[in-house]
Amino acid sequence: MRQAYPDPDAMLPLTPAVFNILLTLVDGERHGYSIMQEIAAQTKGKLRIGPTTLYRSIKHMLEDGLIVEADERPDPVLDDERRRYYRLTDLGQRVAVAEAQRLEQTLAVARSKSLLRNFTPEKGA
Amino acid sequence: MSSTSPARPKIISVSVLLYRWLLALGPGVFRRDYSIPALQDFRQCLIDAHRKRGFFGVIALWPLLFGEALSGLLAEYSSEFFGRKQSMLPTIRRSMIAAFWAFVLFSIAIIALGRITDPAAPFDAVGRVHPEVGVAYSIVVYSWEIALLAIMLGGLPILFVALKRAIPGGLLKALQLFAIKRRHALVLLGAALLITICFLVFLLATEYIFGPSSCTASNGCIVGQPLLVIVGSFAAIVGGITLFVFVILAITASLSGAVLRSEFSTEMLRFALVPIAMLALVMSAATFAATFWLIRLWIVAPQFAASGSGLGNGQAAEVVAIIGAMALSSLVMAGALGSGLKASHHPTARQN
Repeated sequence: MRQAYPDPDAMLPLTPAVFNILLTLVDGERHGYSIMQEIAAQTKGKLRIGPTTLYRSIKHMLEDGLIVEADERPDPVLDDERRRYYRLTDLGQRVAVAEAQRLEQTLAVARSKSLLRNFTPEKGA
Repeated sequence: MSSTSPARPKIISVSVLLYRWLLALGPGVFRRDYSIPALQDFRQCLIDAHRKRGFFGVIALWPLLFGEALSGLLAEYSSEFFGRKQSMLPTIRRSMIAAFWAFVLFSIAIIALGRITDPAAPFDAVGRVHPEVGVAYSIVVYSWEIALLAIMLGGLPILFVALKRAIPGGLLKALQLFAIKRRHALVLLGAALLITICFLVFLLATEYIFGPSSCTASNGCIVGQPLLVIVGSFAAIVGGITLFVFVILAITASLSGAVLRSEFSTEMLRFALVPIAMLALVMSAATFAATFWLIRLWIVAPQFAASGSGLGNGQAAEVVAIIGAMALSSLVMAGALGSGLKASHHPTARQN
């Protein structure tokens, strides 16, 4: 991974919606509705974003170069041709990593202050 | 999958209609670019909810979907009017581009001033008798040379980094970095034509107001020349100047586009603030020096200033316009420096 260009830290902190959208796209290209469903699934329903929030976030993420609209859809035969697919850019990937590291640091502080007494991190996580 | 079922429950149709109306109240850009996919996904949410829990499943989604739509559209309006909370990178990038455009305007002003003071011998003579006039003019000239050095100091490393980043992707990618879209080229051509027309109107107006009153075919005026010659000459002048201005605008826009499309490290962007600060300083100094030079010239050598070899025949008005352009470019440069510095002191920028 290239280190010098640009500094992902300058874009932090991310909003929960933006971070979760980035996370859903780590596995590959997705369209809007699929992103919404995946966010609900990966947060166990704790974060539900509607279409307006989703497309506002997508608009800003496109402007910032975190994601791009994919030219080819994964399965043009099965899918609705009007759907737009999005994928992570190199910058988006690095920003997602930087945000995850930032949250990890925050979590470490919370742990060090015995805030999460009953919290037992999973092995190998 | 999208639903193409013709028998859609009424509650879904009503909800979609309400959502469509709500989206219609949103900002134009968002509405244009995202209302169709948002509506499509909204409908899909309702279809899924109806499949699982029927009518009440759809109603249960209303507070979430309509609530977030309303707050989201208000937030979008807010970001359109007041701007998004920008991170450091885009802000400094914009400062760099604004600084470059300001430098181009400043350079054009200095070149125009040089044209007016050519031949320089009579102005030099006044400068020798009244050293403050000569010193003020020298400050203007040296300021431009320092500004040129500063733009090279900041611009060349940035250009080098942009090219270094683009070249591994092939020559085409490197060229694409500087490409201007056809639509943007047309806008630039329109702007060049407008600038040319404004420039010619200004020249003709000053010539008409301040020029010699007796105008004949023999003293260089166009009166009395054949119509075809007048039209042909005018078209050639407009075409030539438009082309010249267009080339300047296109080069500036192309380099600005390259800065926008390239990725730079935070350090590189911070470094760009140093030449921008130098530019703001020397351009402001040049503007003050040019203003002093003009005023002092009229005070200490009024006869020379009013003569044709000085600033007569409307050339004083041109110098005032030039100083106006210099002041504008200095203000833009100072603004670029201010916003760049502010962005670089943003808490999110101080990570290292």
